[in-house]
Amino acid sequence: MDRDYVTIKIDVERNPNGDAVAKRLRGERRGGIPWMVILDADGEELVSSDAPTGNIGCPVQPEEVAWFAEMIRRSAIRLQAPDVSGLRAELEKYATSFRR
Amino acid sequence: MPGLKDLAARYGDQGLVLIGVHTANGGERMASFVQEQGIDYPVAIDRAGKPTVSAFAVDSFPDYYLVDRAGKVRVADLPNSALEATVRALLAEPAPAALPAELEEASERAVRKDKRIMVLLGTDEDRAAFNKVSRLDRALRREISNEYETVPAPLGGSLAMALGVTATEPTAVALGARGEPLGSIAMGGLDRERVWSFVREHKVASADAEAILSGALAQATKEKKRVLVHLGAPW
Repeated sequence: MDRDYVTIKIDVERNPNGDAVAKRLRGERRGGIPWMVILDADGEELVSSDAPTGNIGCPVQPEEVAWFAEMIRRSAIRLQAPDVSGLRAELEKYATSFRR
Repeated sequence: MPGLKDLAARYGDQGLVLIGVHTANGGERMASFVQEQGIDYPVAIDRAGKPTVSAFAVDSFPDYYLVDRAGKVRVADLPNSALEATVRALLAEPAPAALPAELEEASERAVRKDKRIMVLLGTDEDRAAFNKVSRLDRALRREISNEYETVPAPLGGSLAMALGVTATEPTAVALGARGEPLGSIAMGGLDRERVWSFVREHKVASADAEAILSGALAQATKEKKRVLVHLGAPW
């Protein structure tokens, strides 16, 4: 992930101005928290965690993991298809233990 | 390298733990180098993008960073000439007291959630009086919940003794996530402003979200990357 992404976490309550940044990035979209968005270096949204079925939140279920991989596929610069597959496999492995 | 091996050997039994970090550049040759040189302390390789070098603001190689027995970075950017004397000085400090058993669960949660601990020493009635102050102020109640793991304990009990609180009046004690004392305040007669002041004084400092985002965008521009923003909340 570090090859293509600067990853940041913003807590909407604990970080000063967290709520304002959240509202600016997310607009009127709803669907709970956590929510993720991938921006280009100019701050323009490329893709978010809003899958066609809604916000995937913390990707645990197979379709959520699949959408996260899709987010990477759509926004990656250097990462290639095998890298995305590898990330998806790692996440899938991690997520399995959280599935009911 | 021979000097570091010697340092590790001479001070290892006093508690010195040495960890080497190599830059990603040339990292593929590190394993064979470690083997050839007989280096027996762990050597890590920084990731692409030099996150460790950046985090420690390394400006020369080798650079030394010393962490004390409590886990705090105490010395940064240390020149080679001062290394051994500084190691000796830190090793001479006493080891921190073990975490009281009553704080173990709260500490685990506080570390995981980057929060602090607030021990409320007194009776249930004392704590009810303390909580009453925040009950009427939703923002204060939320601030305490977001920033602190609260632990009730009796005055004069083992936890109070372990924290060195000998006061006979109800006391709120703020601790770091690993139990290090930060400050205390008598709970009797507190008003909302004083509770706010205490809570703000000892909570974890949070960076401004606008600054986090603009910093990430600047880094992404410089390194030709994207920014992955994770919006979360304490609940």
